[in-house]
Amino acid sequence: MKSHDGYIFMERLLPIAFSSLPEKVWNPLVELSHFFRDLCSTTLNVAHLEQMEINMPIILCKLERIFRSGFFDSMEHLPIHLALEAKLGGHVHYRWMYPFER
Amino acid sequence: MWPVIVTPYNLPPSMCMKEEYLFLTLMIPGRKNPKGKIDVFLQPLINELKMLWDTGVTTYDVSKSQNFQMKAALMWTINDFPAYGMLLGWSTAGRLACPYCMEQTIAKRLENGQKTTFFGCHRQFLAMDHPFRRNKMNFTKNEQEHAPPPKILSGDQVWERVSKIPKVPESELKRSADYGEKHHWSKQNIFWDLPYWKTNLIRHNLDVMHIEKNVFDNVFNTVMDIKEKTKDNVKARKDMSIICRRPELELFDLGNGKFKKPKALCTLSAAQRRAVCEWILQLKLPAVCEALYCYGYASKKSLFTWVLHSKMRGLKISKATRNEESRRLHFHGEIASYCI
Repeated sequence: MKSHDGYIFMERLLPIAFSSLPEKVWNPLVELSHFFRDLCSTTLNVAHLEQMEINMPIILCKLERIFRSGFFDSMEHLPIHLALEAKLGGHVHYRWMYPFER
Repeated sequence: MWPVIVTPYNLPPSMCMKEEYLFLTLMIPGRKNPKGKIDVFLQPLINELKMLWDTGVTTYDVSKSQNFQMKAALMWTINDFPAYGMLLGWSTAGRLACPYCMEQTIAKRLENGQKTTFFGCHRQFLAMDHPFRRNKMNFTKNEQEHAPPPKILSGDQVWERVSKIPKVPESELKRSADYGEKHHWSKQNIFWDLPYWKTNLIRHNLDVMHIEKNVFDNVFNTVMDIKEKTKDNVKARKDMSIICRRPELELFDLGNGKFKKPKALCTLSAAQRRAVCEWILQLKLPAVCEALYCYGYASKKSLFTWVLHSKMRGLKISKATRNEESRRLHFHGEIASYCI
């Protein structure tokens, strides 16, 4: 699966595709999906990013309650720092690898 | 081949990062990963960047019809996570992988999985009075979390540490005795030669593209319970029984070295998996989801081919249950309105 399919699925399709999961599992997954959608949005608001920075650990803690320890490799940890980077560096569209990977 | 591309940022947003303005500056040859020695290849680029900062180059300004001295600074690097480690000089593999938390992380190594886990690292980031911090049941068993989050180092603080470490040709990338336990430094990277590097707020970017893809893959493979890719395997369950208290998920020993894995709440049943696959197949992506492909980076058919692959993997397609259908339709309406 290509990166961009993952991007579409993560941000748009995941809440619908996994809607048959129990609420306890579905909710944090949707929150994760919304986090990435907000992060990749074309307008960023500093107050909103600060709120995202507070929310991300809560989402990850909710995921910790559901998933096994093997699930949490470094890639699951890094989103915790992404809101801060977006606050300092601006839009992710100018700081990610899509233009180079094509 | 390892291309190094430089792109100017003082362009209008619509022109920035477009193919016409990506300057291929270096090609690092070879099949093998240059690892820490990438600095040797970067030397000419860094020399030019130093010159661009100190003296600049004479450039013609079309709007004023006159020459001016153009100066330039390197803002940051954009790279994937393994390359992050190569450029920074702090290895991004193993227990101290996170370049923000550095040695303050409380990541552990799993006994059975033989991998690093960041499980239990995230309660530190919560507000001090958050109820999750006092929860002994759902996280690491019998443990409360009272520690503050790791402190993120400023450019000056990082420089203080890095300035004592040798640079690449001299350092030979030998690891000191406390490597892996107290730090992951292997070199002082060449970017520190730039006089302004320590004042940059972000020096290397975490690549959202790869992080999002990997997070998605892990979530999807685990929820869909895809064999050999799921993160919820027998080893993970064994590690779980050491770290957490989740009696309903403990493995049953069937004897002769085999285990039965009780179904977890986070995985879909076979019928639900089929329903998901069937739903993805019936999505009319090119027509319905045109708006979803607003960035146009993906091939529109690749999602289909990917579903077909999962079909080959044994996820056969059948009719979805009526209940789920109505639930999904409800959300589908929501998404459509969002797109418009």
